[in-house]
Amino acid sequence: MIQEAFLVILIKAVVVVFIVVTTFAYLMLLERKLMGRMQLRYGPNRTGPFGLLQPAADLVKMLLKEDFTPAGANKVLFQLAPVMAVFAAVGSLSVIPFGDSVTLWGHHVNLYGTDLNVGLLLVFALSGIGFYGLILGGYASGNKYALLGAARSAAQLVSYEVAMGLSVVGVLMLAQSLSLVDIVHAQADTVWYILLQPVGFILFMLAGLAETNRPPFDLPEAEGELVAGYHTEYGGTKFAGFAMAEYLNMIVVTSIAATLFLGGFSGPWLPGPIWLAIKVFILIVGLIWIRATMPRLRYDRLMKFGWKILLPLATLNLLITALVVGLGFPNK
Amino acid sequence: MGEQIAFGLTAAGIVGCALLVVLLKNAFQAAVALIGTLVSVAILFVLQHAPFVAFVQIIVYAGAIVTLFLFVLAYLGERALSDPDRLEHFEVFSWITILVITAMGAIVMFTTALPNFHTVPETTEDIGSPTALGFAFLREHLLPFEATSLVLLVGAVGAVVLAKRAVMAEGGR
Repeated sequence: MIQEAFLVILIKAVVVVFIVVTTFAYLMLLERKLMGRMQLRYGPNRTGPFGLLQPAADLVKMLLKEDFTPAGANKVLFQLAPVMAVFAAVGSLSVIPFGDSVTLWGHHVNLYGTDLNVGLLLVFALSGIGFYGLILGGYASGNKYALLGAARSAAQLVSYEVAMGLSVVGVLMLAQSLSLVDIVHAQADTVWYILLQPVGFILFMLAGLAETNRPPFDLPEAEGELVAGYHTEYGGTKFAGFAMAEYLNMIVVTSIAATLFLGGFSGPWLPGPIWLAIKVFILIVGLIWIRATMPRLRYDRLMKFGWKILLPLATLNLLITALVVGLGFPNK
Repeated sequence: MGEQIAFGLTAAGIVGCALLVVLLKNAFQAAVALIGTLVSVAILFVLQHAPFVAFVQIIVYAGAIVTLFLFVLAYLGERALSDPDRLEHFEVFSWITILVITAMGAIVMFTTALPNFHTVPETTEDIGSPTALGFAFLREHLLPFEATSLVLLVGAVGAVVLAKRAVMAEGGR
């Protein structure tokens, strides 16, 4: 499974985390800029040229804030929650394939953390762990709004994880592998799976929105009704941790979507990581666009939508795909 | 050697977290400790070259089931035990039981000749990959597999019917 020197793996991890964390900082700026333009505002434009230094200013502000723990909080869990959220989000990066193997300075380097034969399951497992950050954070704050946010996020996780899992099984059947690298190669040999699994793609993106708590599925933090939900009591670096986890999860979900349905790092002329970055960028702009456009769902409708529309649709999609693959549709 | 160190740490994690589950007064924290136990068991599966089972363990048990526990606990809130524990006077019996069971376990452990107990077991053929599991479930053991899923389905339907009856009895929808 792993045939690289330890140092190579370490350097890769540092580089990937550095790039993705920088991306996270500018993703927040991009979101604020784009949303501003969509709402006929300028967005941040005072810090540096075009507001490009805004992330740095935000970082300084977050770091200098008081590290505050409310009196009614459960001290241990309150500290643990943002750590779990960030840990899960960063861990998911380890299986995303950014490119194929290359040779750099005489070293054989795979442009992915590790090619597990169950890579996709690792992402689902870590997203489940990441949700505990929200649930624990909401519970441990000792605040009723935070607790309601935690309860909502628990219910949301349970209803949408199943639909998300089922929506990708069609892709797995077509590629006949759980390894993300194999899935990309299978698409490079045939066509992008968005053409064969359009329903699967839409279901995955919808469930992905719910999994990352993005509007219109941001019920756990709904600022209008729950103040800010599970992270009401968080400030400073701990709040930054939750924000980082949310945006990293956005990057992870869109990368997985690009890998499963849009051919991942495969593409002509340009190197693999650039292709993946382009695809991820387009999907993320889509997510921001949805946030600026769609109003938040009412809570009971969110649950009904998950159980009564997404889940049956995902099951139907799965059955039809199984039938077609079983009847010998040429999948390679 | 590395595997033994990893096994030792994982085993310590399992036992430590399991003790916390029992000993912590706060039910919510106990459920969080349960996540630690379940994740440690998953690591044990990884050490046994069964990554598929390991991640399914995390997704299903550590992910979904404990989430439901926490959901219920968060809604019920922390309630201190108001009544004095009526079984307090009988605590001595529980200690006797613990000692007897531990002794029995120890006797069985040391008198039974378990295969490969003192030697390193040979590695078996691939039994943990998704492919191997798929063949095991859908070729060799198809009938038990389908029977189990049917039992689970009956359980789910039964739960819905019972819940519906309770709601109806309260004059709900």
